[in-house]
Amino acid sequence: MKPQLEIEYVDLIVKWVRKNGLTNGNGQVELTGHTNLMESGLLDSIGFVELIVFMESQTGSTIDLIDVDPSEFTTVNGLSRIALRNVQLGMTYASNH
Amino acid sequence: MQATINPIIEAYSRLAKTYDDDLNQQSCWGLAAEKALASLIIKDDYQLVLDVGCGTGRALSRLAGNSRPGIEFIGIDPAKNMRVRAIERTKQNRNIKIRDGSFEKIPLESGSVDYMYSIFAFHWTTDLEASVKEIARVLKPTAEMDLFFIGRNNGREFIQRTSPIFLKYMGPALLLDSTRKRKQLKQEEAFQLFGTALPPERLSVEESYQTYYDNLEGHWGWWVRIEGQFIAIPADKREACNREVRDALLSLAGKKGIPYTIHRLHVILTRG
Repeated sequence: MKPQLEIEYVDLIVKWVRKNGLTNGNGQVELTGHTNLMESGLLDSIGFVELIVFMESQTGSTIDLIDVDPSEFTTVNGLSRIALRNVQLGMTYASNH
Repeated sequence: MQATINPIIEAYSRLAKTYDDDLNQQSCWGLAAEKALASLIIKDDYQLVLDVGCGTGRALSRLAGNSRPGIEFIGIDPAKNMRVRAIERTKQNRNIKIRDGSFEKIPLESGSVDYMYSIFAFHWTTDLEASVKEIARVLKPTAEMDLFFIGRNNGREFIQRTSPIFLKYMGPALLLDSTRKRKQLKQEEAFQLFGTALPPERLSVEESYQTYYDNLEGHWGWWVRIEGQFIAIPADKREACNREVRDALLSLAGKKGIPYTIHRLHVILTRG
């Protein structure tokens, strides 16, 4: 089962993409946790920059993308896991210092 | 301390020798730059005119040649080989001076410029806020300005089609790092940004979209100039990446050719 925070992040990302994503004139593109946001054309590289900035502002944590797998990076579920990992890493760091 | 090398400036400097070739001048960027240049007006009461990102001095040479003698023109560019070409092109005109500089660091006294223009350079700035402050610093209180640069939706066809390829070869971190090198603002963001340092009542931002069609070689001619962004791709993978990118661009081709839409922002400062 997904942690509550991860579910919240999925919701945040879906709402952001619905508002800011591109549809390429194809009308409403189906958006699920597994949708590849790049290959579907919903987000280009600039869109990902904007989404990461948004997620960082919402989670209060910097999102480190070094060593992130591209296939995880491009889906809603994957991005929410990446965000969660960074938040947890930040909390661990804070509790140890 | 070793100075940080900006790969964009390096790429422009390395490719300066082909910048004025027909292939580039007839490309979407050559045509769009020509259109912007044709709209500029040098008024007789200007004393000092500044071109930021002057490149090989094409605009400076044209504008100075058609203006009142005695107006001083200064062109600045951070790419050394661009400056070399600009100096060569403008050496007959004593009213034109070429200097090393950029939006972030303009080598002029405060309150000295009557008119500043720039054609498709501002989006390469490394620091938006510092650049706008620097622009405001060198302008006279009554100065005018025309800045042309790309907007948020520029080149969307190419970006959408090639982003998955660059993601594959660069990974997420490097792809987003390279994307951040281009500052692609929305119209309202540009107004807000420039309004922080310049009087909003004298400021306006116009936006326009124009789609240019070309063949693959025509587009590839200018595409290589932005290769500085992709320097992070390992050399042994670059050829394969280029091949995939070329195929992706070819897949966009229609009856008129391969489309590329320039989303242009034009920041205008008037005397009010």
